[in-house]
Amino acid sequence: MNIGVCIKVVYDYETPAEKFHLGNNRMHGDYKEVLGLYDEHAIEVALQLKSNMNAKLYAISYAKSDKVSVLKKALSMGSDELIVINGEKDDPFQTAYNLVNAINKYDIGLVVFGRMSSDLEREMVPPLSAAMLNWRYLPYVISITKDENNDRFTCIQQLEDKNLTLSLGGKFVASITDAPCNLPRIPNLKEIMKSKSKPIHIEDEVNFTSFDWAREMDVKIPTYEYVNEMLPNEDLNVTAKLLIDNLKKEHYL
Amino acid sequence: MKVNNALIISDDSKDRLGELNFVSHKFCNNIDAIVFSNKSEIEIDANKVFGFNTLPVNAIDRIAQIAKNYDVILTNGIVGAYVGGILAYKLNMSCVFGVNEIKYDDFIFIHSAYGDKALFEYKIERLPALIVLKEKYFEALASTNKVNVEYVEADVSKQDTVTVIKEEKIEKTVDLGKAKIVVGGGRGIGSKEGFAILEKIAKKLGGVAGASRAAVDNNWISYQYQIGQSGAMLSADVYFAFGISGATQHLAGIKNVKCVIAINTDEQAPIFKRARYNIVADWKEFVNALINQLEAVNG
Repeated sequence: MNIGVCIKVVYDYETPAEKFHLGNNRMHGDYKEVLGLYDEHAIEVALQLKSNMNAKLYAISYAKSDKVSVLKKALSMGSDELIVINGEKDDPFQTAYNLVNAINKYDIGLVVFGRMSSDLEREMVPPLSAAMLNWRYLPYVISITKDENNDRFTCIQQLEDKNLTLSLGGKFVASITDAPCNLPRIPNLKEIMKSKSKPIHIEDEVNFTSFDWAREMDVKIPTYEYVNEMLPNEDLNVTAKLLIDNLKKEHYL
Repeated sequence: MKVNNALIISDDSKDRLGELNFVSHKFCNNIDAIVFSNKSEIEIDANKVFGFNTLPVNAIDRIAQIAKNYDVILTNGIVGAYVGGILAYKLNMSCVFGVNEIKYDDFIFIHSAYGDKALFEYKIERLPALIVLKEKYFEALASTNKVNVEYVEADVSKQDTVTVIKEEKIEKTVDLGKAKIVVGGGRGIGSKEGFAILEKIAKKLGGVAGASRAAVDNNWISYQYQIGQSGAMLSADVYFAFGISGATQHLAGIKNVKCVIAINTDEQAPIFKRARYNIVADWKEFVNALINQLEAVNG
């Protein structure tokens, strides 16, 4: 069975809020581009599963083909091949539809996504892809292993107050959340060199028949006004006393 | 905008159900619920409660059969993550995900993106509609109305059933979401030992320790202490941010804090824009000074 990990190029979330600006109602293209916040965790889960079941791992992205330089990180981490569906819309139905086409074309039987990172943090694309594939969908997964003696998989799902160990067979989509067990590996020089000869497939986008899920009315940068006060720092004992006094005066302590 | 009926889908958490119940009443008073639970009755302001005693993934077809009879479906939390996208596609519904504010009269739903740096407004123009709410952004309706749960079989083949083979409770030593004083540490803390010091000062202040994702990723403190978009959302009165630069995903988690105190050696750190009190200092030196002063005040 082939495994797929769906990844996305996003603008660096660490960009300070005061430098943030929009262009065409989206984050302006001036910023550093990186892989989605959780995508590297998803790649790590997929790589662990790949070695566990000796499978082929495809990294798949719906992105402009000129984003390959960012997406290649998935290859240097250990993915076998990269599929880029050349498109730039951020409609979650369009994204899911095109990912599903690639999943079917490359005979992929298990797909992982990084949580929140495929579609403006809406978390729509992974379940929509599962629905389009008619596969089961598991959110908040932190690890996946293939059972040795049967065709089933064991997934650990991390919830608010418990971890559930789940067993399932057949095809499924999982959305991966971050946990110490899936901390992304840092590509080593050997893998980076090896990745240069790995196949990259550029696919044409196919338009999904319009699905009027909601109309985007406006995009705004919120303004928050906070009163800042810089406390003196020459003598930190004085600073600490001043802080405690102020917090008491304002009834916080 | 008023609708004929609404369906709430969630687990049996009082807070999550309360938030959905509060929002649902803004649209109509004809409300039913689907609850993932094993309780025989649920406190909710609704007419009928359908129950499933299985994972949402096993019940999706049966949920879709029930859900197709409603104008508005409201969901949140883990159940929302399981069922939202699948129902929207299967039932050809309008949908909005990750909603943290609603303009009820105009049927406009607001979702924040780019780590809370931009707000997207969506208008729902046709019914049925599915709305996935972010947790802790809405008031929770406290209902004392007890409704018997009418359990429904999931109707999934044995082969396709996802089974729970182990359930491991995470021992929660902290409840960051409810703590009034939180002492957080970030990359600047640099070690497990550093977090032991922060826990000590948190105890002295009558609060709890917390951490940024960077600190958790470095294994200096466990995941249950993580604050931010993928961790806890604070509603504290006071938050001390020691050695935290203020990455946007962390700032999202302290959005509702009343008073932030930032201690950092880098006076350009973004956290200083969010804080009420800023102190440019080495975190350890300031902790020592704070301990001295607290001991002087409290004895």
